[in-house]
Amino acid sequence: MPSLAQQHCLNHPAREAAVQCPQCRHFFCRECVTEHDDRLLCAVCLRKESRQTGARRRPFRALARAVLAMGGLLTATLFFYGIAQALLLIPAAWHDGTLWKSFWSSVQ
Amino acid sequence: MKPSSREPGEGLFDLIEEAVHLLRCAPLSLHAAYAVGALPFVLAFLYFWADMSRGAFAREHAAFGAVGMGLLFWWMKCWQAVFAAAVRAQITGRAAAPWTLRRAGHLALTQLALQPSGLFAVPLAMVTIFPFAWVYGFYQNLTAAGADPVGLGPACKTAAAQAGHRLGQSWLMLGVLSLFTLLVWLNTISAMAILPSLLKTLLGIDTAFTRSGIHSIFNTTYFACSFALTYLFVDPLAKTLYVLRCFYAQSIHSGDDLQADLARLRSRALPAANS
Repeated sequence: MPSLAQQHCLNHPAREAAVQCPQCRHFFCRECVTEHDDRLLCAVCLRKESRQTGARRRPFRALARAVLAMGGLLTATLFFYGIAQALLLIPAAWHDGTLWKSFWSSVQ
Repeated sequence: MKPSSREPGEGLFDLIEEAVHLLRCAPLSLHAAYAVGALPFVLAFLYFWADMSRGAFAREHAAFGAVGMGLLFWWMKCWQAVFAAAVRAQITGRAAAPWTLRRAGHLALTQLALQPSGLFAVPLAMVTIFPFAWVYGFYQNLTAAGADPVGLGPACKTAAAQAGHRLGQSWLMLGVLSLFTLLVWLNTISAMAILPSLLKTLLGIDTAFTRSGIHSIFNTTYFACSFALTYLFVDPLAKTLYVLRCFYAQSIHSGDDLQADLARLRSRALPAANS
């Protein structure tokens, strides 16, 4: 098997190879590889990998998103329901200002 | 000199000046984006308030009203994120990224999943005082970066990191904003009290406010109206300030502020060179 030093980049034939992609076994220069999960992968393999990971996670991710969205709406609803209950507890005299009216007349 | 004052980034008053300048120079569409979200929420909230405080059957439809308010809160937060994205585009001088279905969906999800917790977290942080600047900043940063198409986890991580950036400045900014809010509220409530009397004196128009006298002021709906109007006046400035803070915090690593300055200089130099 030829050594890395004798190889050239698959995308840039003028450049010497620096890395061998562990997935496709092709040689690449440093600019053509990206680190992913502690491995240096070429762009094509990285794209395949991320597509597979995305597909694996998608059902759970969609479910988690739906739960989070419902949780968010429920939280906001609870908050405004709490405000409604607090407003309902306050006496009507406070809301319509008659409380102040009696206070004002007693002052005068 | 304290270490915090040596930290890179803009000074507080430069930031405030820049935010005011941005809002003054902003196109109408930017203010419209804010109003489209905030006005329905504020109007519905005032109706909800008046209904719950005076309505005869309020108890029966409190839950239904609360769901509606929750949805309108989400609607407002989404439009505030759109407003923040437009402010950011104005700062950088670059055209805003186009609104695709995926981007809009991500924005809607981020705002629905994360913002409602702020309804409880921000008042709690205000009561306990110490984490207030961080918590308030976190939720404002979620709005400021809400239009970026990243996952929920990275969005939280970025917002948290930026909330912790120059925390001293964040406290000082909240102090200035609180003082400004108080002044705006005093102005608003004074205007609300004086306008009916002015209408009667100058134009002879008699309203329910002038007929009720001082008693028209001392009710909860009147105060709720004054707070709602104050929120509408002050919140765009607060949002712009947090967008600027996020922008300068990110620029330490990305150099975006330098690129924005260069773009600005280039746009000024080109017409001069052509003439």
